[in-house]
Amino acid sequence: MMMRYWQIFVAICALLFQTVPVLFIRLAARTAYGESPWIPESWVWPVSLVGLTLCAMIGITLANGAIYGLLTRFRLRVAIPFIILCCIPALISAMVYLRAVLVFVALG
Amino acid sequence: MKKGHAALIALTLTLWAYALATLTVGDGMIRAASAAPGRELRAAVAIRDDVTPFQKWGTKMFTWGYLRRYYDVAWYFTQSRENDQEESLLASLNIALERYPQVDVFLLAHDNRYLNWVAALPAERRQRLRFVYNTGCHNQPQGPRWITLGADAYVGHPGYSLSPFFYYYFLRRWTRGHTIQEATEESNRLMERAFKTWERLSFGRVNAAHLMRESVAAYHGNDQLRLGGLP
Repeated sequence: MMMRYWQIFVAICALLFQTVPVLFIRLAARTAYGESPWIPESWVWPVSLVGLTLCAMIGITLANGAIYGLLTRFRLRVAIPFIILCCIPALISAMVYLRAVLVFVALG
Repeated sequence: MKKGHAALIALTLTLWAYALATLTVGDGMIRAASAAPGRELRAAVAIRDDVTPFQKWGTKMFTWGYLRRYYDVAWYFTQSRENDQEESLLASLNIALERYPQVDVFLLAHDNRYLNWVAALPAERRQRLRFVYNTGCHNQPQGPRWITLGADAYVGHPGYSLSPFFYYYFLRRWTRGHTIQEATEESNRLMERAFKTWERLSFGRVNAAHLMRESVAAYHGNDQLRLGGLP
């Protein structure tokens, strides 16, 4: 059952995954600047960049994979609502993180 | 649907999402710029006050990339309590002023009196201070004092300001070689646009004109100063 509808599962995962960067940022901020920091401040910039880049790339890959899978395996009346409700918000969110990374490295 | 069409749609949506993110979150500066000439002559010192971990994280993430790219050397300090890092900041600033003819200072803190710290440095060293930016609320009047201390130019905010909006636009323009005047005026304009958008989205609960009066940045000193200028 799950295998048959994996594209829908991936679309929902792409959307849910967008909470991960938020949690990551919160964690990075607390580990470097919380009550008892346990990473040096000099690490926070490179570590956060790597983490945010990974989050953006995973988000883009999940959303793209879901769009492709939905369009090739399902009728449009099933695919389009999932693309609009899950994939596009996930893509936009991932692109915001990607854009942030480019700004943080002074490249964007 | 054919696989080729599906792949094309996925790619198109990806590019559209990037363009949307760039246009809505961005500020019109899409391309990176190479460092202005004379990078080897420049140093920067920045300090963030004791705020929430997220604010400290955000300030470091945004600021550090620009300082390391456009300055030969940069020091960045984050305070964990009031008056924290005084010795470290002054020691670094002293080294910067000794070794570099152009030293810029970024005071990324609420209403502050760092000028009293810097005043302790020898007067001849302070003459190498070039530009001081201060995000602090009500700290615009410090401008003449910073100029007297030795800075060539100072930018600050007059009231209870939302300076992070301004700083985001300003640092990106300053590091890309805009003059103090150009960077300040353009950043004020973009900040006003952001406030007006916020006002519309809040159905008028936010007063853009009031925010602007409190936040609008002003400069003192040499308004034609730019990052790549001669010492």
